[in-house]
Amino acid sequence: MINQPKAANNSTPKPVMVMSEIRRSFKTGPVTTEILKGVDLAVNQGDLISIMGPSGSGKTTLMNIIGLLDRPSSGKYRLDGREVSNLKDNILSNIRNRQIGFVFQAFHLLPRLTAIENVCMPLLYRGTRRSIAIREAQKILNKVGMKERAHFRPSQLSGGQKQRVAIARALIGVPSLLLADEPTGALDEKTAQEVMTLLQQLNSSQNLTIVIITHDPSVARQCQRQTRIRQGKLIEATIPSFNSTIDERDLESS
Amino acid sequence: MARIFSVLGVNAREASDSLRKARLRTTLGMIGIMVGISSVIAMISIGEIAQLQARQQFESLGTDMVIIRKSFNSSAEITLSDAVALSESVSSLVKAAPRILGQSEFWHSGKRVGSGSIHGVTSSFLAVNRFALQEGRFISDFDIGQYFCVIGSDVAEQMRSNGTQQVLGEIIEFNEQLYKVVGVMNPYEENYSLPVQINSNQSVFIPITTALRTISNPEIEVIIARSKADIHHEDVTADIQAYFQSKSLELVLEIITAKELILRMEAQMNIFSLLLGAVGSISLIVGGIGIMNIMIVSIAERRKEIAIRRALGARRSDIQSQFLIESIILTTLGGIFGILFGLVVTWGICQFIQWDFLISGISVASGLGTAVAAGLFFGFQPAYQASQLDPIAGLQSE
Repeated sequence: MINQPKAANNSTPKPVMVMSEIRRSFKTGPVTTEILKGVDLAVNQGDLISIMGPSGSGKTTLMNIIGLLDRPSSGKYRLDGREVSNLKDNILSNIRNRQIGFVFQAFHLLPRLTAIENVCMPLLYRGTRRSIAIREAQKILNKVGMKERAHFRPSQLSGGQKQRVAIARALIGVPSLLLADEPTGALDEKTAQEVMTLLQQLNSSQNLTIVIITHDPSVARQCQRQTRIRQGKLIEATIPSFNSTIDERDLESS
Repeated sequence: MARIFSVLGVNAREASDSLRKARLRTTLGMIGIMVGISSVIAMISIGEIAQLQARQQFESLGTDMVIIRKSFNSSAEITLSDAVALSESVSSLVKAAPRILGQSEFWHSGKRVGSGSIHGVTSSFLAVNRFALQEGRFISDFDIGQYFCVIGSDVAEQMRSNGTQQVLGEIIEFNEQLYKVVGVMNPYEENYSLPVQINSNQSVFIPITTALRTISNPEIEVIIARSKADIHHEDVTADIQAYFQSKSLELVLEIITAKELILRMEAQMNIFSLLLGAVGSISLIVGGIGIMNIMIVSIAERRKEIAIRRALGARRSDIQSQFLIESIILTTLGGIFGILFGLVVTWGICQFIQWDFLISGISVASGLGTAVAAGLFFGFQPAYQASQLDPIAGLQSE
């Protein structure tokens, strides 16, 4: 089921993002620590890819760079064919708004706004009229199964519902890339699986490109492409039959 | 362009929403600004009303008035002949009216009908002071040494209430002399901003030549004059000084013109306004610092929200405008309440000192302007800080 659209897309893989030799180091006083030591990553349209790694491995740093919240110290990053590693802040904001949809572990919905208002937000920052944005938001909420709760505030929603709203918010701008940071990390097993299934459905039915950052092998296992961060480098690790056991052992040692 | 309006719309909505949610903080911030703005409003309004009030008084009096007084350290005195000849000899003057002053009780038919000043005057005294008569005539230049008097309205009123219907021609007694009433003055409202008081209503007026004889230690203590309209007040003063210098070198005069008084008063008003302004400004600054504080706290609490907005595509300028709008809404609301409160205070003060209340358009406009400017000024730094927050750190904060 996962591979169905992939097969249709296989003939012309269109690269959404290409990273090469991405390095990122941080200075704390006199000490410079290099977290990313030359990451290469190419993601094609319709990919569902996981980036695994234990905490401290640099996966958050990599996510921030992919999400254009941070700039690499060196290296090249092309998003939709455009070099984005050294753009001005305003342009980065614009790209985040139009080409990237964020889904966070802690949902990060604005507590004062209703679900539908939260979903609207990326369109409003783009200059869309409020009435149009509300209409769009309702459509997306229907799609993620949140039709009935559009006017609830986050505090009135369960974790799984919050994450559905967050996914709707990430989708409303029709991004090139959905970037999910531990999307199931704050959910119980059953709800986590529901959210994963939703992401897989979006990937297959809409050919949506999804990058999932996780430390959970059971999440990674559900992605058709799997990578791991180790010692500041990214390793392709799609070994369909063994990955779960290997991953768990790897996580302990790194 | 569409983007700017849409984002401003979002920001205004967000700002008012967050202000509504943090009700206590919003109220406290508003009170600070309210106190500041209301004191600015009250200060400007009262200054304006006071100035108007004073100007009105002077306008009814005439800005051409000149008051000539013998100084305390003068060894010589103003002589009657010099005083009478003054207006003819000094070309910058139109009229001049010398006065000799005494005090007494006034009696009529064995009853006391008042007590007050006896003014020994010439015929020009009426016109110089812009007094008017109720009935009869004023002291004339032909009344030399005569025991005639013109009485103030209160004195006449007292005589009438004692049963004398026709006061003209009645004899009243004061200063151990009998005087025949030849005229009654109209009631007159005294102007206390002048350096010479007349209290016309409680006074009697007699020929200056009579006063020289009947009042003990008579001296011309003041000459009230009117200058020509087109001559500068300093020239008038110089002309008068020169005239009296030519008569007596020992005579030292104090000459005060109405123009000078107005200038002096305006200078005082300005100091008064400045003082009030300083008080108003200080409370405004205190209020503004309160706003700044509130904004800083509010931003610190919303670091995560800011980071989320940034991740969703808000620019730094969008974040900055969101918080600027918030602080401007805060100060503008405070300003509106401050204007209302300030006007109430002004009204109260006007009631208290019996001035005419008026709403000064300038004060309302400048109050509102100041409120908006305070929001911009005190909100700028916090809003700028908010816009510079690192979204990565913000997303990780709780």
